[in-house]
Amino acid sequence: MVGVMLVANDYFAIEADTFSKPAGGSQPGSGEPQGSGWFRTFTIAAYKPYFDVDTSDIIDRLKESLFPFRGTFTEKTATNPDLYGPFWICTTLIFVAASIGTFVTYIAHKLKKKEWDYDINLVTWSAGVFYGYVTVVPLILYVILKYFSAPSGLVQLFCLYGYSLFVFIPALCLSVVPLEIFRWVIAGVAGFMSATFVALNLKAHINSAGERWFLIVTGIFLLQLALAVVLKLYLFTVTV
Amino acid sequence: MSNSHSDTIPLHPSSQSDIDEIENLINASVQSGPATVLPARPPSPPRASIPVSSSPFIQSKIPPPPPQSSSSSNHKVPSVPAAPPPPPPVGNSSSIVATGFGPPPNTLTEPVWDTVKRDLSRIVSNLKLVVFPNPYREDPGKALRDWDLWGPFFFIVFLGLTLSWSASVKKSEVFAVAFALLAAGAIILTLNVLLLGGHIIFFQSLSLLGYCLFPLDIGALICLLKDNVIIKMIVVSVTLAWSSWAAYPFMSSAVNPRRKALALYPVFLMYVSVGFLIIAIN
Repeated sequence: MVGVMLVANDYFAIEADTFSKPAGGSQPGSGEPQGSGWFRTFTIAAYKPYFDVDTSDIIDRLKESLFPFRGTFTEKTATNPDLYGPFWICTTLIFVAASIGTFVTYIAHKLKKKEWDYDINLVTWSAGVFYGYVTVVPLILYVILKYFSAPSGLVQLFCLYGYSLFVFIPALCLSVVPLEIFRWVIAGVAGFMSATFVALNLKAHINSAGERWFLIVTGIFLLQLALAVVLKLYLFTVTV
Repeated sequence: MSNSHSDTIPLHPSSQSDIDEIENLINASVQSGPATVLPARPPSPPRASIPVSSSPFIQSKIPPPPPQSSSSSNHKVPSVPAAPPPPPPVGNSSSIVATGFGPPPNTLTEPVWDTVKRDLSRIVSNLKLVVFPNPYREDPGKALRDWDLWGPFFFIVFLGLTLSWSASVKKSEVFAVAFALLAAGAIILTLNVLLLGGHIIFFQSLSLLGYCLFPLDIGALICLLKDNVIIKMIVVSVTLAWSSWAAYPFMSSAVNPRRKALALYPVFLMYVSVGFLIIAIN
């Protein structure tokens, strides 16, 4: 076992880039074409351009997502869409949702002096919802937009949807307050902000092409609102 | 050739056997040598000239045999023939095997206890270097070079088991989620650094992140024993801070300084979520 690990160390120490290349060997440089066409989706180097952001860029984009009525997000990220933001916002959301949801049920049970058990399914459920939403909806939208000849880059769509979920983090944190009306208000506001963000940024892009833009934009808006409602219902409906 | 006991020059492992061979030839030709030359001595430590030629040349990290074994191999009984290889040292508890001509000490034939002991000592030394970093230590890069995956494996499994023991319902699901979270988390964190343009070796990073889990293991164990929420929160916060502090130097030095926060935030997130899991499981 020691020898295998040492050999593996040498193998992977050749170049950090090449760890997922199928047949080993060191690549001379990252600028050269690597492997045949479809293998490239499995290399790290294929995704590096989407992580070419600094901390200040990410913070700018996060702040931008909190102001839905500007509509300038897509312009700013058109040349350098990143996947770091969407992925880690989703992951943070999963953690925040699971922990807040758990905390809420804990408080509710303790207030009524009932037994409480930790529900591990919250984590898996929220992971499925968030990752699924950010992956599937942009894909479908990409296909639809292509069909209506207003193509948008797929990564830009992922980026847009990922950052649109950022506003849910503070909303979830605020929803700890055990007032039902307050929770609905928070959910509504967050859902509205998020949906407007997506809708306005998309509208700016597809306004020029096709006549069905209004339908598409409205559909997107409603979908985002539905996500907010689903979250509120599942995480904060406590039956004790 | 001096055979005195004061010969303490440490010989190169591969030259010992040369010297032994020459000694044998000399002494074989002078069978009736003076009695003062070589009193009876204990047989030399067995040499591992094992005919396992098919195994690849694996450079193990055992340090070269200490001087006393080289000087004791000089005191060979002259009549011991060198031709048949000595039997494998099954009952021998000495940890270092003198080398033969071929590959250095072959780890396939040593006692199991030696292997286990070596790996355990490596785990302990890596742990000390990673989790209790001492700014005055001699060789800061040692843990980075000497990584292994047994330590992280033990710590992850131990954490999963502890969480599973603490849980009152759905024990196997808790173990599964904890294990998946930690294992996938370590891989994703490493990928994150690589994608951000950092320079890190994949398995080395997995190893480091695994070792940095050790404080959380201790925290989980304490939480298992003491079921008070306040104590749990304090213990988890302390061990969480300790884990993050242990992981900080490795992660931050691997990326561009402008992206340091991008690389560190996910580490913090993972440890916080594990800490939360520890508190929540009751």
